[in-house]
Amino acid sequence: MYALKMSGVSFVYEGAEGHALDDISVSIDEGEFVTVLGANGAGKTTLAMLSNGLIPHAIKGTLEGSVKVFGYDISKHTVAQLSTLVGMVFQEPESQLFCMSVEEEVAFGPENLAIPRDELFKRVEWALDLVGLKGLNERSPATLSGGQKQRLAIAAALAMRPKMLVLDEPAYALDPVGRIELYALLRSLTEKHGMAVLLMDRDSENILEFSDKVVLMNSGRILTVAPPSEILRDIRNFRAIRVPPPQIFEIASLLNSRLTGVDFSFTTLDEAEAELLSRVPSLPRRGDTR
Amino acid sequence: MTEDHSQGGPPVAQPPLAQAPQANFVSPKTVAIYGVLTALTAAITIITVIPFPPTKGYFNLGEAMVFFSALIFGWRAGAICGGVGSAIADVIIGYGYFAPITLTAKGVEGLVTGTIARLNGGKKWSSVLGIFCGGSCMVSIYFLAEVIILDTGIGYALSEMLTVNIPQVAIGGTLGFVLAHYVRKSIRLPK
Amino acid sequence: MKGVFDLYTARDTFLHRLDPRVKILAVLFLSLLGFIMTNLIPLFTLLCFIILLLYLTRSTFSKAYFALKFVLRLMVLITVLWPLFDQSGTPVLAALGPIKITEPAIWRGLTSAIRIGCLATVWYILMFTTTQRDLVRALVKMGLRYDFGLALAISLRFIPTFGFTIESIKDAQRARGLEFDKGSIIRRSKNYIAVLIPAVVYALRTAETLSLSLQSRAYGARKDRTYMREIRMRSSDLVSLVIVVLLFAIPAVAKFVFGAAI
Repeated sequence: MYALKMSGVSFVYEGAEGHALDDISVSIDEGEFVTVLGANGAGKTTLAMLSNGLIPHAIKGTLEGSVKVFGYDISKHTVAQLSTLVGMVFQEPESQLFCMSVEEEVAFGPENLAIPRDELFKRVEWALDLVGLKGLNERSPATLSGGQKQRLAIAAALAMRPKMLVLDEPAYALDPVGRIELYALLRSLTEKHGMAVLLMDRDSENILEFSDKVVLMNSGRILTVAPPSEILRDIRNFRAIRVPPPQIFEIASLLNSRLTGVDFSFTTLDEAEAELLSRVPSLPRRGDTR
Repeated sequence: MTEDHSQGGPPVAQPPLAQAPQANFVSPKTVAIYGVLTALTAAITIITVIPFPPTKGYFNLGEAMVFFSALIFGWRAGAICGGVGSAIADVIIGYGYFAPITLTAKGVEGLVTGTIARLNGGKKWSSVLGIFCGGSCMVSIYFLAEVIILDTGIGYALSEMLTVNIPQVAIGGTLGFVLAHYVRKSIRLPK
Repeated sequence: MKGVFDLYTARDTFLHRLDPRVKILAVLFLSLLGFIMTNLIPLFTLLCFIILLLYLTRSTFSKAYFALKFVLRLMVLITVLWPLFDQSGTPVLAALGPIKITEPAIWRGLTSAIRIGCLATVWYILMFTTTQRDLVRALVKMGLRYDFGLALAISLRFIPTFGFTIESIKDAQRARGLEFDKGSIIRRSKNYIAVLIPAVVYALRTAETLSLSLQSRAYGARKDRTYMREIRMRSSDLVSLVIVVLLFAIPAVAKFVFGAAI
């Protein structure tokens, strides 16, 4: 079964002129890690909010086409009902954490779902353990670091036991290390727990390592859907969506454009080393450092 | 609906909720906006303290938020966010015994301002009149409460009124008016 | 700066462990006691009792100082200003033109100052020993609607956040040459507009995400919402409650039934 299936979806915000989404069709399998890449205004947030029913239930506008999560039509179920299928994490870490302790934050969702009390304790411990915040139960969310805040937001979503997690640029405010930790956590959710992950991002640096599938979006349309290795074959993919490509890939295409007679295609550091060394055979080598 | 993951097993989703009766809570938007306006009123009350040299008093700009909430979001928001926000500020900075009086005084202030400002189709002059009436209510309630309930004596109540409350209303009212004007013009407000 | 937004001090005292509902009631009853007492000696005894309790909260010195500074200033002001406006009674101790200072007025001023001192300090017992979280929980348990309690909890949660936001906007505007600590009141207040507008815009944006976040986490989904933590009344809390009630009831009965002068 598809985790998420959108067919022919268009959306115009109430009071807005243009289409925020224009004839989108995309599907995500269960247990799949999908990254949606696009610049500001590409429609990523709209796409995210459609997947758990915030659009059209909380945010008004004209919606065409059908959106189904795990077979359920989002327009026929409330956001609260869908919350047990789709967990949502927003970009801004501060404003989505509204409780006075970490523990309450995680328990908030399940409490609303009227989960029995002893089960609540289990869920909170389970979710905090999963995101690596175990033992911080009594801390105030406001005092956590940026990375911890986002992981807490993930735990709060996980505690409702969804089968898919949707994240709208969760790593935007994080440093590179925090970002990789966050992506690794998401990857482990797909691998160990079979969850689907839909990640909205405008940072292409880590897509190869973590995603199964990449969706390229620009001004409300989907340009390409392909595995990351395929996306990385052509730098024009990135120009089209106004997102900088991974730096290593940029170097390859820079070299290709400046030098004649080469065609570098490396996408990782290891590949780069191998290809570059094979092209400069004339220089003496130091001992094998690796 | 029961599921076993006591071993910390993989997440098992419940089927989308059966038609359980929903709580009849106020809307999430209301909770969010009221919560945030209350917090902002309290925060501004606590940290924007301006000395008033002529009388060596101190006053704060929290008033501006009471008027702002009332002008933009109506009498209910003015009364609740203004009243509760200012009362929380009192409790936090240690005027806890004043909190009930503040709750009433600022609550009435927000209520009156919000109500009058909406009269006559919400023209500019309605806002000004609203702020004037609301502010007057606030000042009088404080004065009466100090004299009658807290029994601080007319001397203290009078000095408090002249050095703190009246300048606070005058400046807070002006700022609140300007703030509402700018915000109404520049951003799309959540309904 | 955290201290400014939260008077709570983490300790493990009897007062910290007490059910917050009992503490709220204690504050109310002790305040009422302050209101029904009219004589100097009982009021002074009450003040001493409250200060003893305050000492037992084992709060930090800086917080206690912060608290008592306000109270003391208030008490001095009332004592000094009272006789100037209350000219009744004899003997007249001093007279200057139309103003005369009488002895009973001085005593009345002092009594009122001590009463205000009681009312003001008794709150700190609650605030020093109870987390904001427990306060909200107690209020909900005492009958406040859950959704209102949630809005209250949200506002408490965001006060420090907005406090820091306002401070950083102030710093940014200071770097552009706006003064907040110098100049006339009018100029200073005007400069604050450049702080309040971005702060309000930030707050309203926060509200928007907040509302979406609440919905994504099933706010209001079911009538039979459960609660992970609940405050429970233990036997020691009950005993304390009885003591608190008696503390109020005995003087009240003495005054209103037997006409004792307190």
